[in-house]
Amino acid sequence: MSLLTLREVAVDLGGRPALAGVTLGVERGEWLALIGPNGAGKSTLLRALAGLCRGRGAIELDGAPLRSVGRRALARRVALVDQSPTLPEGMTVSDYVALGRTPHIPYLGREGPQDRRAVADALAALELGPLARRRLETLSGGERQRAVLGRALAQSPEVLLLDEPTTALDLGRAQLVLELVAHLRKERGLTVVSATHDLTLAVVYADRLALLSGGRLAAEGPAAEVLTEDRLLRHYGVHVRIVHDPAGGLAVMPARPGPAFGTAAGGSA
Amino acid sequence: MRTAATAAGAGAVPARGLARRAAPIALAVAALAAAALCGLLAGPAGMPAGGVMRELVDGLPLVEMESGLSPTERAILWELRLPRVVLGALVGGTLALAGAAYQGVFLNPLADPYLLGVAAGAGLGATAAIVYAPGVEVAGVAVLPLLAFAGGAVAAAAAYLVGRSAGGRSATTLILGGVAVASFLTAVQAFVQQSRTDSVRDVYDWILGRLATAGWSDVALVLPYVGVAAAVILLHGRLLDVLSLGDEGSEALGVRAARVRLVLVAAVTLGTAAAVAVSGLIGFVGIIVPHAIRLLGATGHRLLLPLSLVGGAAFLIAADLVARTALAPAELPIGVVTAMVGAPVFAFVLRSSGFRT
Repeated sequence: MSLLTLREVAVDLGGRPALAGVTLGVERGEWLALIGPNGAGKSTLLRALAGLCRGRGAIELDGAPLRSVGRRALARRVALVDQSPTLPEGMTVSDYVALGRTPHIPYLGREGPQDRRAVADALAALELGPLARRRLETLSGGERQRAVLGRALAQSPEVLLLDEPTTALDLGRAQLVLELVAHLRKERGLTVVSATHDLTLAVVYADRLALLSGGRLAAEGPAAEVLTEDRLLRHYGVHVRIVHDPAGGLAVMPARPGPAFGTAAGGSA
Repeated sequence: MRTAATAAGAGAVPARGLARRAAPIALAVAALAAAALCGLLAGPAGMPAGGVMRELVDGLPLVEMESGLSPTERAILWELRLPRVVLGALVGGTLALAGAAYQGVFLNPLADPYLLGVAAGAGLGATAAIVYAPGVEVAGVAVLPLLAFAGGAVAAAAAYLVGRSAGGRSATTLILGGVAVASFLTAVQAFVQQSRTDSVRDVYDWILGRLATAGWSDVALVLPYVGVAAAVILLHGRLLDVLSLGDEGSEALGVRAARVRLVLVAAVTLGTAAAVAVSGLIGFVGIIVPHAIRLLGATGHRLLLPLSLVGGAAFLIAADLVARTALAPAELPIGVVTAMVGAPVFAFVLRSSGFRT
């Protein structure tokens, strides 16, 4: 049985359908990458999985309807790393990471030894120890992303939902963050669902891709099946070449449209 | 390398809990004690400091000490100065704590305890009492603080309901609800005040705030309310830190932001309405004290809240000292003193808090 199951999930935002009839399963320990053009419904799908938006259809976590799982209980199992999370000014990295323990602490309770251990553990796993006392606003983009991941990790979740975790990062920092996620996933048996615009990185890190377009699931499966030149042209409106390398990977390369499309010279000169 | 970083990481985790907060809180308590002592010593009737100290020690249970103060001096100390200092501490502490809580609840550095119309409502209640029922008592309690308290509480409740009716229970709609209610009640208050010109001066005296008539009965009147309010707010320190992630960030961590906000609005309203009922409208304490404490480096609500409580108490005792002594034997309204210090600080905070291009 899938860890996460979506059946005919539909969500309206501001009277317009953001998701429509999405049926999808995510296996335990799997890394599923959600791809699709802007407005395809990737973020809405992640928010629905985190229990943050209401809709129709059924979402199940381990066979139990998401709605029957209490908000706190859900937050103990599913952590969401938002696309642009609020980083409270003046807060130190360790205090911020400690907020991840919130769902494990009763309403007016305080942190116990187990919570402190989990925070120390999360700080260590993301190599945030030297930054623990720094204020969030003094961090660089890559450090910030690590702090946000640290907070999610301190939640001790089974499922990690990542909304464009590498958008603001350069290629090197992006790879660093994804390597960290891959490492943590292996070490802790995490299930990862990430939304991304970087198709090449999605291919490298995810086990499976799900292509959303206009709120609907357009394709899902291994990268080699999902990523075809026709499909990307249809859904993204982009001309690309899919290049397979001998090692089994593939790369998505932008190509110029027009009459000379596909020739080495290109253009009209 | 990972192992080394792991070890360093674990070692760098700061000790959490009370240990980290004990020193600043102890310092603030010392400042409060110093302010209280100055407040007890200063006044038109000069009293020897040593005698006052001995008299205070004598007042402790199980301790007996001859102070050398005359019966009149003892009466001034116990029946005039001490209740006034205690009331100043309760009102100042409540307003500063409430301000710190509201700045966290509404994610707005310029929020103060009067944000949801408590001041306007209490102002209307007090004005109505002064104009229509001067000197009237109900069951031995003056009607003025009762009406001021009721007016403040009803105004905040109305602001909350108006804000909520706008759809959603976001911080912004509540603030706008407060704007609507406060404007309306201020207009009604001005109308009532102008309908009887002979009592305008009394109304202004109340609006500018005063601790002048403080006696133990005022202390007894507010203590239960500010006590409950302070306890509830202090218990929510950790959750106020969670709220700083925004509504959705809080929900994703399993915290219902709207529910926490409702509890804190209720607590702040209870404490503020009680404080305002006996002291009038003392402005700026709720803004300058928490911000001064932030500027001194306090981060996190679990440190900010207790420091605001103690710091606010010390600040208002000191402000009252200035109000009593600056133009002695005349007394300045305490709201004038806090605003004279508060307005420039407010401007400074406004300047450094945002709108940077």
